[in-house]
Amino acid sequence: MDNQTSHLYFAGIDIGSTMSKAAVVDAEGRMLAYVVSQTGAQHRLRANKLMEDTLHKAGLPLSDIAYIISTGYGRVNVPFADKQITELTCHAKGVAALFPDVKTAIDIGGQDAKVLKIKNGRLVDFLTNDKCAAGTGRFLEVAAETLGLDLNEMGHISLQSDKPVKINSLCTIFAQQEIISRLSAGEALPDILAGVYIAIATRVVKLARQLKVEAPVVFTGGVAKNAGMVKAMEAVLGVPVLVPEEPLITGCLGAAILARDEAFKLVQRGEYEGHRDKKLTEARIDFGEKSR
Amino acid sequence: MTGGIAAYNLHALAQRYLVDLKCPRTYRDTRHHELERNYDKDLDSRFNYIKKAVTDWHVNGAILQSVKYCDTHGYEVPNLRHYLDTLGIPSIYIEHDYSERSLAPIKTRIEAFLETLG
Repeated sequence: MDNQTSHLYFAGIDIGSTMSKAAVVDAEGRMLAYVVSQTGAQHRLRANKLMEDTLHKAGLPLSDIAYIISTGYGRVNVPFADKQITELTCHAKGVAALFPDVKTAIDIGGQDAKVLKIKNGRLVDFLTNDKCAAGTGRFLEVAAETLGLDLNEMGHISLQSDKPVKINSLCTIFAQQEIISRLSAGEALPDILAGVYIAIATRVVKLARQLKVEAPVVFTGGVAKNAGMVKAMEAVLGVPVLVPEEPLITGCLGAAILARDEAFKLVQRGEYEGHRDKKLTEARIDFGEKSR
Repeated sequence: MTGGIAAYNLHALAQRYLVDLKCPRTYRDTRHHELERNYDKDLDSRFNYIKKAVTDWHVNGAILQSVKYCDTHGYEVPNLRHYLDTLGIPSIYIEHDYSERSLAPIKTRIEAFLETLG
């Protein structure tokens, strides 16, 4: 790294189906700040706000950000991004930054589940479950709502179980009915909850087995924040799983690191165009006009 | 109907539908392997037209697609992917139903696949 690049900063922004996340890294790829927020319905507005908040937290003006990569379900709705890269590549990069030896990553988000095979920090193969919300965060939200519980609370209650109930339905709607019928049959709540987590884990592990699970396995996405889910995942996989401190941000972290790689390539080729604050201003004006 | 143009046409039609069309339900000639049943040779006799395309067009990766519930195509996929593996060609398999409902996830998967090719 030379003087030309050492003062540069890079950002990644991940607009997911449920949550949006952004991170800023420095020239050495170290994360300076991140922000997580609900995606909502207005992707463009969310993207601008999220970028502003993250920059504020990092204490950087936008003009210091050399390159921005957007990723996730809503990646096309980030007008100020220099490039879009899929969440699969970004997750792999982010996970490998936190766990350099990772071979398998399992990500369960609000609306889909993905399994990534990673070799030397690079994505080599992947599978996604994107046909329906079964076995994803939405499934857990519906279960929590049915039981009148908070998601975290639900995880902790499930930890008390030592004989999980078998939940046979994986369809979100049918599983909801099954949970209710188990409750009325007199099954204990912790056992039902543990059963729900095992049902989700079984579904995702089935997907993972198609790619051959190799340890170390890293578990990310909003669903990895749930203690009950982590326990079930380890039980079904038969190996321990590593969970990052903040499992939601591997996508945006990976995007930020890829932004750094991309900008360095441009600098090397002598194609780097310098400051970029004009772009965000233009994008905001563009958005303002469209929303009015 | 003995010989002549009719028999010729019939043969041509049979050739077209049963041999020339590259579809898993069509006939494939395995006579030359009768004495020596060999999985890799069998794959080669079925898919060597793909090997030709891979070399002729300098292919970096293969996107396999089939229509949902076409079981004959579905059964063929693991064999075909294995064959592509032996050629060193990474592949991705997409199953679709002609609808536009899941266009975005399919697009993401194809983009991600292209990204893995570097």
